[in-house]
Amino acid sequence: MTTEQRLQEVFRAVFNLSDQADATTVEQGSHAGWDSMAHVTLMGAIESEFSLSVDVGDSIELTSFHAVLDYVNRELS
Amino acid sequence: MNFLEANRILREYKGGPSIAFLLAMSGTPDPLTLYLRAAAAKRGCTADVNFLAFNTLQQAVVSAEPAAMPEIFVLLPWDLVTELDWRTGVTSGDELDEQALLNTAEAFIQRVINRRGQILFVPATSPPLWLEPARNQAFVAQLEVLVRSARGTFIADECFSLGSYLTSGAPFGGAALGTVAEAVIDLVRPPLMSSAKVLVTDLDETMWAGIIGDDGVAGIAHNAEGKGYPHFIYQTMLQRLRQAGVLLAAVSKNDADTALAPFKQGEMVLKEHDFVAILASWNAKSSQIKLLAEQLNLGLDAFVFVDDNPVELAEVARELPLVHCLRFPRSSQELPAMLDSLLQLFQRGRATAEDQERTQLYRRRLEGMAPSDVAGADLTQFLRDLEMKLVITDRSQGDRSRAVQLLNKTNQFNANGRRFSDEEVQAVIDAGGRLYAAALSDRTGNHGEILVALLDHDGVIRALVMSCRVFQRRVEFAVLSWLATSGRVVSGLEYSATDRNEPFQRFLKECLGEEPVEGLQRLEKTEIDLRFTEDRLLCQIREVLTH
Repeated sequence: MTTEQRLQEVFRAVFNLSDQADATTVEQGSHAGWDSMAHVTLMGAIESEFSLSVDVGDSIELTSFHAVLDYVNRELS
Repeated sequence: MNFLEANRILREYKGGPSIAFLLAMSGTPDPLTLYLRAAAAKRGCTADVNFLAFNTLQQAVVSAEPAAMPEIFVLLPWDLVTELDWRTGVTSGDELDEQALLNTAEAFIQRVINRRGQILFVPATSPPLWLEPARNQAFVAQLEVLVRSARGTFIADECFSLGSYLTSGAPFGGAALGTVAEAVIDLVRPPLMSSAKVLVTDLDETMWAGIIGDDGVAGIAHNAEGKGYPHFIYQTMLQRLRQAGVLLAAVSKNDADTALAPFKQGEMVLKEHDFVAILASWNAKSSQIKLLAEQLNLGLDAFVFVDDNPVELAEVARELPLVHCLRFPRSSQELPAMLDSLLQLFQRGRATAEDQERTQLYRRRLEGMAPSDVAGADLTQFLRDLEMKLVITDRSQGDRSRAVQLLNKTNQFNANGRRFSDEEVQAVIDAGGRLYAAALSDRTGNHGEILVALLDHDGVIRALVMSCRVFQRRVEFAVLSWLATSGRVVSGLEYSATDRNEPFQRFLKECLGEEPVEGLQRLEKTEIDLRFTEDRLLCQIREVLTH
């Protein structure tokens, strides 16, 4: 499974999306479920799934699927 | 256990008994919830997690009554000495008195002990109290001694995330949530030692040093010398576990002849007959283990898998999250820890004769298994060909230890999940009841006592259990039919659905012709006789009655 596929699974689980939902379009500004609590959950899930430690400063910038994907790819490389 | 794995475990979890506990901590516990539920599910339990209101730890310990459930205190240094809390910054001044602070910490810990709380301590790095590093270190060391004296369990300090703590109040980083949750559940419910029944081992580089397909029989090492030594010790450990009733199986990505060659040679500690099965194929190991579990009729949580290859371990862990995976060590230095893990997983008391014969009993089960392609078409003929013999003994007098043991360890084919002490069984008998035990043998061998029924003076079956070793042979129907036609009073059965007695639920539904309901089920003798005479006739039944 690629990083993008794993991240899609993480987004679907955190935001209760269906198995077929395209999570790549999810953005904080347009997704009602992405509140401050969900953001904490999402950051924890990303740290858990990819064995990362997301810095507070970075966390604030991670407001869309693609922003998170870029961040994870950068950290893993 | 990471995030997606925790989700997958919960998706596949079919339910189990609830375990309620209070998780007491000063920070935000919410991110742990998913992982606590998954860690409990791995042990076959449903976590009923209760939290303290945010930031009420100190008040709760001082003033609140202990909860009517296990209390787990996940503590950080600043829960014991508030001056160590990062959120208040570095304490000013040198006037802090170590002994006074330690007295406060000790008083807090004593209150936790008085509540019978269990402590999980995270020795997170704290801000300095004094400007002398050695003084800070000595203080922290004394604090940790206090926790150890209270039998506190320590988890790695890197589980603490300062960033997470400062931004959200949650003290653990996402990457540590699985570890912390496992440690909490270990305290609430120690790993199900007795549920581990089957050790599935890899062969190459595990059972022996070398690759049998490449090195041949002459090129592998398993004797008490040189590079074979760790594998020799491992085999002796497995032999000891087998003698205590643990079932051994091997899975190997090989062709069967190659995998079996070292066993055929007969020079290893373990012989082919020590295993219930040696599975060699090129299929994924998870699919081989899953098939074996189905054939042995045992839950996957009863399986422990040992392999040297982390990829194989990961494949099994991913596909079968209930299987406990252990890595065979790469260096002999790690061997004692690995053997200790096996001991923990397969804790056993003194072996009984039944334990020592268990491998042979299960081998017979596999040999006596109906081929799947004929199971639906000609099962009756298959069962008839087994030439089953049932000996039903009235255990109301004399030795009934095996019968009581079976009553108390059987989960799947169990009428109501109720456990009976020997004294409780005696009380039912004293009141005019009867205890019957059925032993089964067939052309594949002797299966021992496999079914127990406890009837009270009114003919109500208070307990009916059967070993899962003999599922699908319709012995249970034969015994019920025997009870209905042998002149005994059989009026009903006390039934209760449990999380694990689905096989019994199916059995009762077939008996009644409708979905059973909780409580006393009326049993019509004539109808049972008519329905299950054929099953009774599949077995040759002999009665051994005390009077």
